[in-house]
Amino acid sequence: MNTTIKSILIVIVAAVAGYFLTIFITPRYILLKIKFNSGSKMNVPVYSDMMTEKDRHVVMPNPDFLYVASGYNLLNGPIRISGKMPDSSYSSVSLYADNTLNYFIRNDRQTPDKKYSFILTRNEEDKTKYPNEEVVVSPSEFGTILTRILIDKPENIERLKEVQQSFKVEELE
Amino acid sequence: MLRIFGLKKSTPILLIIIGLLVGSGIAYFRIHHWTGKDATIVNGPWRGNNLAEVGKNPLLTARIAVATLYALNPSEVIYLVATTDSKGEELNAENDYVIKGIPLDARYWSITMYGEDYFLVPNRAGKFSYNLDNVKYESDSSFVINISSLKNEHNWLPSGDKGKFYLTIRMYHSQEHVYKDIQAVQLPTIERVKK
Repeated sequence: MNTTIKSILIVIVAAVAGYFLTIFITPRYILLKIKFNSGSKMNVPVYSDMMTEKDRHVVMPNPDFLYVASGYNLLNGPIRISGKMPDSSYSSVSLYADNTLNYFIRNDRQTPDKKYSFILTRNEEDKTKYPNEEVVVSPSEFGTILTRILIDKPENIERLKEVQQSFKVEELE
Repeated sequence: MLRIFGLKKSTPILLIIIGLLVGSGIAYFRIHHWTGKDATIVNGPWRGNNLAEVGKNPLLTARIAVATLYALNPSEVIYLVATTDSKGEELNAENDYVIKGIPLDARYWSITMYGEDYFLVPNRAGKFSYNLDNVKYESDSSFVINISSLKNEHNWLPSGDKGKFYLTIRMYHSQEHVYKDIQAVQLPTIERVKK
């Protein structure tokens, strides 16, 4: 085979590998960067105030929402996620895998009693271990939990902050 | 071991490095320079992608991580982004714009301005968005939002002084017809006006 053709082949194969590697790594790198920059611990919620231009950890923050975020780590076993939702305003708790895939969401309309509690695990067998609780299986060991609470009216913000503070993450093992 | 296809010892490594750099560079450019040209949802200046593909489509997943990290599933929220006005000209804070529209058919909707870095645009008024509850409506129930660096009494969205910016529509729990045919929904227009 001609040396030039061989060289071009090597460059093309390496370029394809570099292309897909970069695309694969990017979401995971961004999550790691956010975790590093925010200094937050895994399985420990961070309760944010209203978003302003000073909030520069996560892109495209919605200034109408109160957020609670927590990175999760299931290497040491399952965790319990619980909290309340407001009576009238939109709220949701959502789970993201380590590639940022949103694989679970529970909103206020799906929570008639305005309270939620579920187990997050990597192990399918935990469904039998916790028969009386909702068990969600994560596609990855690491990920993110994000709670959104819509500030429907400015006068409701203190009440909504109380709802925000009800969000808890508990390590079970 | 280092000899590939009989090339000189050091050549393959150099070629591999060049290839990796070229491939990574192309990927970086495609991830960070989303112009909306390959959007699957197009309605006037508004562009969007089917976020149900996140996780299945690696390029979209990387783009979302960069520009819309922690986006929700489309069953929950529809996100649309405008990088241009209704005539296709790039949005720039050196110009003034008016957004004209009618209420969107969703439980909650908002229009938010972001800088080129995808973060909220710094401004002294501390105003970053309008939503269904805080926008002031016209007598015919439509709304007009004024984008300008100079203060405006009516639905003022401060744009900062210079640089590109983006507008994002969020529609939470949209009505069925919105999901069925987003292209047919009457979304706000964005018109450039004289300062």
